[in-house]
Amino acid sequence: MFRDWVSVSNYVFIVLFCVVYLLRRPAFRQCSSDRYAFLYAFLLVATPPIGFAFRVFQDLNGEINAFFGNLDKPSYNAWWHNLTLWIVVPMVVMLLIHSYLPRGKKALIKKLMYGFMVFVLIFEGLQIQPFYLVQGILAAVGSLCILASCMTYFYSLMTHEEYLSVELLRLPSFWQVTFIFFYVSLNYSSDISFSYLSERNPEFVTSILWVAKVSGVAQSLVFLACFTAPALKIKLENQPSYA
Amino acid sequence: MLDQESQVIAIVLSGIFFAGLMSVFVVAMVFVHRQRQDLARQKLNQLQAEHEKTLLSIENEIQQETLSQVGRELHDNIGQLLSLTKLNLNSSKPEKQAEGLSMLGQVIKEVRGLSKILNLDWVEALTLEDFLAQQLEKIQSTGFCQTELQSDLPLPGLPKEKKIVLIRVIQECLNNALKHAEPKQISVRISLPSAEKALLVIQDDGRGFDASIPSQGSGMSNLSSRMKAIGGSFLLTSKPGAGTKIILDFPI
Repeated sequence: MFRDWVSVSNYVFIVLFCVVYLLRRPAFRQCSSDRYAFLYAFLLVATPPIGFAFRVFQDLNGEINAFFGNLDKPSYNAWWHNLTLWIVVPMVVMLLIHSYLPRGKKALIKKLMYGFMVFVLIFEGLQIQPFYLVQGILAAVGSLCILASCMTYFYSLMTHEEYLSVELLRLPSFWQVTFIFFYVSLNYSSDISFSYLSERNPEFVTSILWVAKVSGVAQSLVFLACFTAPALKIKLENQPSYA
Repeated sequence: MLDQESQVIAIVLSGIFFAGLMSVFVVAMVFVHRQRQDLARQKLNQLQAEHEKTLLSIENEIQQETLSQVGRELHDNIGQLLSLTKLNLNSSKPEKQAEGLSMLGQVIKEVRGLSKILNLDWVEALTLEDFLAQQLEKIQSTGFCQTELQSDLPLPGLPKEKKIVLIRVIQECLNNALKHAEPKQISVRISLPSAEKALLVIQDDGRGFDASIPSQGSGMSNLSSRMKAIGGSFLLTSKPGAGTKIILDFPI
């Protein structure tokens, strides 16, 4: 259960995020960007423990694996990671960035979301890679969609006049998108080559996963700081409105 | 063991490299953003300075015009009245003296009227419709041409600066029509196409001119830049023999 301090930190973050959610429930209900940011941060810390839980509850995991056609290895939980990290998380990130963008740029992200959904349906429908194994292609497409959304955000940040009145270092969306951008680009190569590397050089995979874990903790800290800033009396800028 | 250690070192180094890269990215973004903010601030200051300059020059023009009007009034009207008053008061006849005193009262009234137009406070008291009505009435009373004023809805109160610019532009348009067009009729229409903007159309049935030929003077560009200074626009359409139409579009 607790293989290292990062695993422990996931549980600590889950507890902290639950407390934040309870305290800031009205704010999350009102503001869609806060809601998506919370969902993203929570999914990142909750996915590994839930994945671990599926390995513990073998019966349920075995049934799900069998549903996806895996009868040999009922302990595999890659399907869970595929579902959350490579389907739900890219969608949540795109929705988050969609909520931050001005109207003209929103259409671009919307097209990206529809395109990604169509790709997922075709990819999973045709079973190009089995769903119960790590899906490198899905990881690559999901990551590219996230990176494209982040680039769109940075482009609008640098070109839209509404941002001129904003102090960038106090803008939560800037830090959130920057950390998402770096987290995804940092783990891009290891995510898409995970299957290959774990077969050829499992020690290297174990080592390289540390980069993902440490950057993930840094990212969770940033999101936690954004959520708790009002309670900690840290003055943050509001997202500019595009009237 | 050594292999594992070198892997760890490589990963730590790559982690540090990416952290550095991220820091550089953040610093670069903030730097570019600050530069954009500075540029925008400079542009805003420049626009404000230009706006103030335009207003100042318009105020100067109005004051100069007012002074020459005052000069004319003093010479042609008050001076004459005072001379007559002096003659009447010097007379030994009581009815002439009484007439002189009544003239003195008239002079006082005229001087009071003049003192009111010496500062620009009248601009604040006057609405744009009132100003237009006065100007058109003045034109009609001189017998140059017929005038007509139409207004769909009353204009909401405009700030003094905006009103000064509009007054100056309207005066210039009417003067140009009288000077160059020889019209039989000048009509002015005010409309409010939306809650945020107003349209003022000045139309004459005079000689007109080919508006596609660029004018040699700076009058038109001055009018256009003045309208821009208050966030509005100036559009002129004219054809030889078909009169001239000027559309002033401005925010309210």
